[in-house]
Amino acid sequence: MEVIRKLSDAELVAAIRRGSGLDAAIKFIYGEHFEGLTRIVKNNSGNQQDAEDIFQEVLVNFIGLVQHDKFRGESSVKTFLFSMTKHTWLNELKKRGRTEVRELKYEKERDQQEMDVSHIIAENEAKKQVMNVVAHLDDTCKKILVMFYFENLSMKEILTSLKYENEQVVRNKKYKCLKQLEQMIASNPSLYQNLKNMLHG
Amino acid sequence: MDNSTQYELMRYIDDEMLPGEKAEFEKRLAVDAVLQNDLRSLQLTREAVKQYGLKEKVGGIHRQMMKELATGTPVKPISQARRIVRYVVAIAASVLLIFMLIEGYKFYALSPEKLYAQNYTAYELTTTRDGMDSLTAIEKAYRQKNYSEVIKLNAGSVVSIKEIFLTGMAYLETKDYSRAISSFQIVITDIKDHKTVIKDAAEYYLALAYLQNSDYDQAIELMNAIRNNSSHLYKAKFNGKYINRVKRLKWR
Repeated sequence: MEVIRKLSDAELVAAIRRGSGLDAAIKFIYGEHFEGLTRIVKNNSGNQQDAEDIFQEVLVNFIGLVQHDKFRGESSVKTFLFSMTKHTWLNELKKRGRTEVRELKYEKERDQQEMDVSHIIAENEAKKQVMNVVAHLDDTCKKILVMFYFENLSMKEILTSLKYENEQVVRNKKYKCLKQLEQMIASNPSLYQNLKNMLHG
Repeated sequence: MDNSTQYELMRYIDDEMLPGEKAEFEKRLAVDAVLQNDLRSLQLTREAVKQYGLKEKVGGIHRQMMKELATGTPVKPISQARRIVRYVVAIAASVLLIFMLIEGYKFYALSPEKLYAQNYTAYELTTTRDGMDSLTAIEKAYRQKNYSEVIKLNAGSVVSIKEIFLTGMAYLETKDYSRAISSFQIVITDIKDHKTVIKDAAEYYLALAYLQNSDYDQAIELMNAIRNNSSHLYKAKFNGKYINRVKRLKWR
């Protein structure tokens, strides 16, 4: 069994911002909150798959907020994740037109208070649209762009991983891929605006 | 916008420009609205990639975690304090288990025979100066450990309290506990309130006879009485631990 050191909220947020501690931070959140948060969904008409999907969505949103310094730490991470899970699932139920929306029940934990995370939930749709557009790139493009812009790998490291002839070939490929993606986003004005609002709003 | 400007923009957002080159580009950027717009577009595209990368990373870790959960090896965060508590509880549980096993074995191995043998001391007549001449036939037979003769002589004649006691001892030695009990009871009843060596001895051996006869309540009551009597000659024979072990026999 892999044992992960217990992290305080401050340590968790710092690990996410640092980037190098992201894997450990994600695993810690799984160990600490997966069971409790997925229970909210499963106790309110959701099945196991719904619960896992919502948990991942909440996790991606939370990490994004922390990385963009939008998580101000006014509540505990647990409270924040709880509220996000509840609202994300409510939103999903609304989309599905389910009657359970009105009677969503959940387990109130001792230190949990209600939080207004509706503005964060509103960004979810925009994010999903962005994911879909990126997913339409070919696999090599996705790999190069993710390695460079998300994993922060150097051209030399990417070259080793993808077996290209030299760094310049990788650089040219990356340029083409990013331009292709830019055009795909630009061709959808509402997506462009949503992305703009999401990042600068 | 030409390809060369677009390439410059990308080098700018990738932070690949040399300091002088970067400063020159930023001067152009400050006054060129189209360039600013293109930069923003490229930055948004880069952010989209970051979002996608994060989603992929979470998805990958999710699959790993679900696999571990399915195989029963979930990742649980363990704090230092929780780990210490876990060790302490494990040690305490081990000690408790060992203690319970020892006590269980003791309970299993406990028997009236063992307790009897642990406490029994044969009664010996005092030696007289004139040897065997002044002894009664029963006393002589008892001294010679001829217990069946002691019992036989008792049945055929009127005997003294001391001889009844010796007969009780003979029954005890031949494992006829109910008759031993009767003999000792006669001795105690006859002597009543008088304190004698024979009465103390009769009470002590009666308690042991009760024990062997499985009359535990009577044995415990008499043992406690002997223990609580500070002038009793056999007081030291029955301590609290010994009496508690007799009490446990009742649960077997």
